[in-house]
Amino acid sequence: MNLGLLHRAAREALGLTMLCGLGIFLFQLLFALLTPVLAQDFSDQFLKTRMSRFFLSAMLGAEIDSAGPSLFAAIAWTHPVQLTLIFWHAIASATRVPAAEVERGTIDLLLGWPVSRWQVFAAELAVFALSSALIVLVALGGSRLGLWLSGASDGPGLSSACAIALNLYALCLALGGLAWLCSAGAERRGRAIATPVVLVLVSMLINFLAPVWEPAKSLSFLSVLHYYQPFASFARGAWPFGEVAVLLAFAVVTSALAALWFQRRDLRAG
Amino acid sequence: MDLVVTEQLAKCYGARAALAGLDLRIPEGSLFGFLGPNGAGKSTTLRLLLGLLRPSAGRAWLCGFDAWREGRQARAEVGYLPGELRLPGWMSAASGLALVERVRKRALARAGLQLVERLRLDPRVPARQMSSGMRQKLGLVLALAHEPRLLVLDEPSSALDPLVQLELQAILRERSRAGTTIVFSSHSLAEVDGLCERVAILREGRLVAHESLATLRALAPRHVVLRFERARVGEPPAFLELETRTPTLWRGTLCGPVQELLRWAAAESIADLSLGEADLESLFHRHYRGESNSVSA
Repeated sequence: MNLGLLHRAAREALGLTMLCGLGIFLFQLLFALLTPVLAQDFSDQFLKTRMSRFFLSAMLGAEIDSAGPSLFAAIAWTHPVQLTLIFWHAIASATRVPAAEVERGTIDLLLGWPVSRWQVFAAELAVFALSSALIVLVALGGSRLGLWLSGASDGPGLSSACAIALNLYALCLALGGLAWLCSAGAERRGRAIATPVVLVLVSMLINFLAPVWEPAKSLSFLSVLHYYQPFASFARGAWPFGEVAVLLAFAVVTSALAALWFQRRDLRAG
Repeated sequence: MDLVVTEQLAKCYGARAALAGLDLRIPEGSLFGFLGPNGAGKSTTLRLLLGLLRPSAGRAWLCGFDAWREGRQARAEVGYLPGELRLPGWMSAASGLALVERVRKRALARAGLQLVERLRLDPRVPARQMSSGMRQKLGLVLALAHEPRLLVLDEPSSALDPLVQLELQAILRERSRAGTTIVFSSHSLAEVDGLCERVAILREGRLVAHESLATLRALAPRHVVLRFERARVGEPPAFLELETRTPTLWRGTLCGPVQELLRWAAAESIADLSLGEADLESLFHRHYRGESNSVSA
């Protein structure tokens, strides 16, 4: 591993990681602080309306029977604000090399140095894996701090929260791998970003429709969000190793294909 | 030893050939100019040499290493300034040098800061606050600091003011005297004239001339004025292109070796003969326009 490349990749990732990390930390902290207040107004009565059950099921990817601490914790980890920040970090980070570097013309400087494309890719991958881990840990830290400050004692335990954090981390890597694959052959970052964004939106749509529409349910295994279901994990109380394995396998395959493509492609002037 | 070798090097983008079968050898220690109009294939050639592009056909070697397969080893001995240089906004001369030090695993601060001083660059200003000329200077510092065996510079003086251009020429001459091989591209003859020993001229992806500058000078057209002692009738020789003609005065262009003109003049009754400087610019324009197709090695 070339330390100069690692340093450069870290320098490039710093702003985005800090911004996303801060946003996620504040969101998780506020959500956890507000949980006791929300829980007072949120009763099982609310779940009796078909519409509210439908939306919660669609968001959480599971049938909701009763309101409880697990439900609120799961909402925090699947909330659109949290997912948007996580996806933004993953997709923006993973489309930087080569697509963004080609577009802004800095790839010439980078690959004019005595480094191989493998080394460049490995440095980017290492920094992405570390910054994603940092963001997930920050989310976990914000959530735990908020629960502690709010004095809530009936939330999911640390072990359950860590299991969800691991699942979220695997989701980040899978999305990063997909974005890298789209970036590997792209000349423009916009194009590289568009494909994973569309696929994530399709995934969300499938997840949204699966509880109420049979054809969507049969396709749900193709959705990346099918392998990230905090509510079911909280309810089961078990670590989601199967889901994590699928997401990691996807991340490994897409990253390897991206690295191969990047290794063989032309790098035209931006 | 030849530090740059290409054999039938070609690059196509779809049906368009950006470079067609380039054969080139650049010996160690040369100061070599790559000339051609915009879109002639100069940057494509340099990007193929740096391993940024994959050849469609043929091969290239840099410092003995295959440019595509062994690019990392080749680039260890190369300093490269890309054309239309872009830098990350956060990069200053100080942080750029520190970064290149880590990447190359060599101490560069001293040599780098000397260059920074010589090119009058503020080491702490980040690229996002620099003018294009300052960014170009920073690119030159990063390419030169490790004192490479081979310097590949793509239009190095673009965006530089005339004073800095002179300083750059002085640096390149010093490096050349110290044994560095320098290859640089330009679309301007003025840039290579007086600096390079050899030049290659590309047009539409093809090599149309590969000569020493002295040979090109000998082939370059010169302005000629001939005054005859008495009225001269008859056609002028083939190597003279007349622009104005009176019975005793011819003005035109010499399009051949001077010796031919002198031999012909010795047999004529000439009162006065004046011969201008070799007009390299005209020669280059002929090559650019495709009026000449000579390729020499």
